[in-house]
Amino acid sequence: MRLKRLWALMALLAIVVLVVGAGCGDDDDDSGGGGDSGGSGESSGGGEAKTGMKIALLTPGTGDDGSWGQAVSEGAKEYGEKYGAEQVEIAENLDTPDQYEQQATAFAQAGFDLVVLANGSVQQATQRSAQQYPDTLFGEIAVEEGALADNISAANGKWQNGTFLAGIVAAMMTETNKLATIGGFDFPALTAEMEGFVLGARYVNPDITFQRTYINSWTDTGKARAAAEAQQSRGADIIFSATDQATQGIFQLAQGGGTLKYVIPQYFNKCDQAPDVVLTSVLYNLQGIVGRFVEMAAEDTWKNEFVELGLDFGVGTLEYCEGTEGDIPDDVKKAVEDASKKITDGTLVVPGLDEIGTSGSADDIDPKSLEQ
Amino acid sequence: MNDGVFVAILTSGFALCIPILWAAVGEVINERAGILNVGIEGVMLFGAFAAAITLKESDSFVLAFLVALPVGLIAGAVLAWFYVTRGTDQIVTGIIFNLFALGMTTVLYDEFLTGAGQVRGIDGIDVPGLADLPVIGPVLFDQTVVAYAAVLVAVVVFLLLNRTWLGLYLRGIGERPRAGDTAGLSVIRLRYIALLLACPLVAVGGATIIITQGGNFLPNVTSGQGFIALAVVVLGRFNPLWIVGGAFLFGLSTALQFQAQNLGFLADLPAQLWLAMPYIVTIIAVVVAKSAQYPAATAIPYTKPGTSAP
Repeated sequence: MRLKRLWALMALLAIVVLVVGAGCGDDDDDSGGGGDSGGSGESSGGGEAKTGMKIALLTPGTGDDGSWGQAVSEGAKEYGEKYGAEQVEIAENLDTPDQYEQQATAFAQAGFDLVVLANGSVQQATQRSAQQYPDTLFGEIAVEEGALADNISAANGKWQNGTFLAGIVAAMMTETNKLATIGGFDFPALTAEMEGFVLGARYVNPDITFQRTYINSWTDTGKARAAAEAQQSRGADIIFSATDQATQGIFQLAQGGGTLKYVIPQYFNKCDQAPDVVLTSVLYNLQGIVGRFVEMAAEDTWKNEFVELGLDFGVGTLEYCEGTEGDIPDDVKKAVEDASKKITDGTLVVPGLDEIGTSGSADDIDPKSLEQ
Repeated sequence: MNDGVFVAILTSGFALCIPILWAAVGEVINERAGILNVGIEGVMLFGAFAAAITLKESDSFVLAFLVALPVGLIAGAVLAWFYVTRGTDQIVTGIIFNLFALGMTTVLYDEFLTGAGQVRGIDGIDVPGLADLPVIGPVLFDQTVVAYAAVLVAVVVFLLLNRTWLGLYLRGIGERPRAGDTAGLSVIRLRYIALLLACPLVAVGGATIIITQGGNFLPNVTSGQGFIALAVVVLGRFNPLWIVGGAFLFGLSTALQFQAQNLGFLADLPAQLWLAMPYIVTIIAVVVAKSAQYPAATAIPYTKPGTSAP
């Protein structure tokens, strides 16, 4: 009798956990399946964009985390609105490939027209989901070139262009001639961001020394802070952070008034989070990259392709902060503008993943050889 | 290795071990009283969440710290009802509680806390005179107040367990609950007391993550530190004073991995090896501490002789 009650309680608790767990995924589940979103009807010839689409975005982080998650979510919402989407759903805090696959197939099953997976390390989940639901369009970003099912469009950014520019700023601003980078995980797309930073710094000052530290986390502020503290103890005064929300730990250390003066974050303008220490933020127009998928789906210009987007698409720009902009001399900004122009017109080429995708690879490249 | 590097390893190591220390010092009370609270991670998460939302609303680090106490008390009461009154399996219940806490705090975070707030944290307190000493000055005498408090609480818990009647009773029912029962002790009541004492400390462990590391909550912000605390309790052989050392060893190995990635010949080894270091150290330490034995009745729900199973 009592045992029965206990089991009933446990079952109830398990249900609560499941409901809550599912709740983290899709926010409001009112996708009754009604919306006939007209597969190809009106948008054939040239002109009328398709409205009433249902769009889902799957992301680590959240829609207002002041980082990657917020940037990609803004893209889905802005462009969804622009093209009169019936529904835009953001599935947040997704971590593992199976979570992505589960969510992606659930949205496809519920009749969504476009599902964007904003995570570079779940390529196979995208591939499997796309094969299972050939009538749904799938977008994926921050991926390497690889096999693509017929309904996938993949985009990667030339992130290293932006970090190269950040390296120029850091190299011209450092007083100790010691710079450092902190990375979330050691995989080519991310490592190339860190190596791009190193190359940019060496491009203006070959004598600078670097420390590179991985913390194996996007969110662990304590580890990020400890890594930064280690780098500070060896003289680093500017750190480029190639991790996500964990960057807050680095901000906190920099605010402490030690050797570490400035932090350069990426993905989102983070001035508000630490106005006195954010030197500049590296931005990648993540909004536009996600928006591009919405646009292609709405205007029926969908391409089953892998593209790399660069500065001309706004991938790899710097945004300065009110609190620290006064510290940056004009010649630094000028140097950034010049390099930016050269990258855009092709006279300066920052190497791609195949050359700088492994840690330490930028040390072996002569920065002068990058000028064409 | 210059002085600065050495100091940074020790300082970071000490700072990193503080949340674990709070949690482990709480958990040792449970385990000595015969309860294995696997739900420790969940209690930390609730503590962290409560601290973050209080900090956001009140801008007060003191309130953010204090709010963890009642939150821990509630979590302790809930867990005590399951573990002690209902006599449920402590490992299964603990795991479910952790999942519940993760889901619950994530949903609440989405509702109330998202948006990256401004980064802030409490400053270290310079102990006058001592903070200027070479090496040990910055390591030991320039830490945050919650760090000093953690060590102090470890001493208090040590005294509680070893120098008071309550401690004697708790240890007694952790080894031979039936003997205690026969002698007139209420096993149920004592285990309730243990959980209600322990969980507030564990919740404070979660809160220290928030108030010392940037002030913002993130989903799963505890990232397994509760489980590490469970290991540290074993490593410290169920003695709060040894636990201080055990937690520090863990913090130190975490701090060392970040130095090692850039330290002379050590930097030539793959970063992944260094990142695995805290876990390797824990495994080695637990193996070395092989004679550490759980109190005999730990994790076994107590039923009075003559009554049916709950």
